[in-house]
Amino acid sequence: MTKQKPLEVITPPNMLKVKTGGQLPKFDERAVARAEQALKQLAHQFDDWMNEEVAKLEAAYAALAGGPVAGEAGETLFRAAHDIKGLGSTYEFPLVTRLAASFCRLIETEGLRKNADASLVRAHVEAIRAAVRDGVRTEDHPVGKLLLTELESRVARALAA
Amino acid sequence: MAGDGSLSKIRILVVDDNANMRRVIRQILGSFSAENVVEAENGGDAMRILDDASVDLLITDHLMEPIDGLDLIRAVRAKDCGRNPYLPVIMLTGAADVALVARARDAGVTEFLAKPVSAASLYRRLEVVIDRPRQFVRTPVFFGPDRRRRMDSNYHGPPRRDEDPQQGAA
Repeated sequence: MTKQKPLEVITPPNMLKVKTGGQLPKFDERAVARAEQALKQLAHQFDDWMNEEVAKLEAAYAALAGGPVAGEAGETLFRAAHDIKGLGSTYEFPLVTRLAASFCRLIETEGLRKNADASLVRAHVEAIRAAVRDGVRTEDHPVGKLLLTELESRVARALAA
Repeated sequence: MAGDGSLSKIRILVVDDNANMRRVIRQILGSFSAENVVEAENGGDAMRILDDASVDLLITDHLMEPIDGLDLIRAVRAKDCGRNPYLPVIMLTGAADVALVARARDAGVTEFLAKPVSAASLYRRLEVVIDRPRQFVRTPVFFGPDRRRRMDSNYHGPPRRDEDPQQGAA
């Protein structure tokens, strides 16, 4: 029986290169510096934007009404934490990104949410809220670092259990 | 000529349910002379834009409702959908989203951009999709950019595709 070769390799036209008129300048440091400068112009809004994200997290947590992290409310809480994980460093709160990353690990799947320790869930929400409120941005902050280390190790233990 | 490229004529669709994140990306792109940026809040809105307008590059987040980033990519790559099936797609991901990376590759993503997004990381991704585009592969169960980034000269295992040169072949 003839063996079929069910694989086709296609080289599509590179329309991006046609439109750019050639290769991009190799790592254009001036363009990158311009962009970093442009981001700095937004920086005065970063605290407000971070507070907006925390408000969403708190609302999602409140919607659980003391119940388990489950269902649509659980998913909403995870998404809020996931957004903070992705945005914290951009908004110059890298410590908050790590706190949110720890939280995401704890409640990433429905199975994990079902077994998540309620006090550990609350501790993450409160830690993120406190860090943003008090401007604890980086791991240079001794209390922030301690809190982060404690939460990360508790999550690691919970996931290993 | 190498190094003459300008992003000014490229239309980029940025899809993220977070308006502030879209603003950050738009701000960076604008600094790269990519001013022709359209935004969508979720995959459904993005599909409507793709149906109505010419878009050259899609940058999308993953977690969105009602249609997420993975379903958006699948819709772009779907056969006979009327959209450009070769549209380059950059997906925003968290650094540790290993499972998502695998699912996004299977859906047909072109490149990933890890959050937090920086000007440098976004520029590098643009370089890759413009200057070093992947070939596409069609099989009965997959259509999208070649999931193998490059031929690995250090790989000495058996051929993994029928099309690969067979070891010991006469």
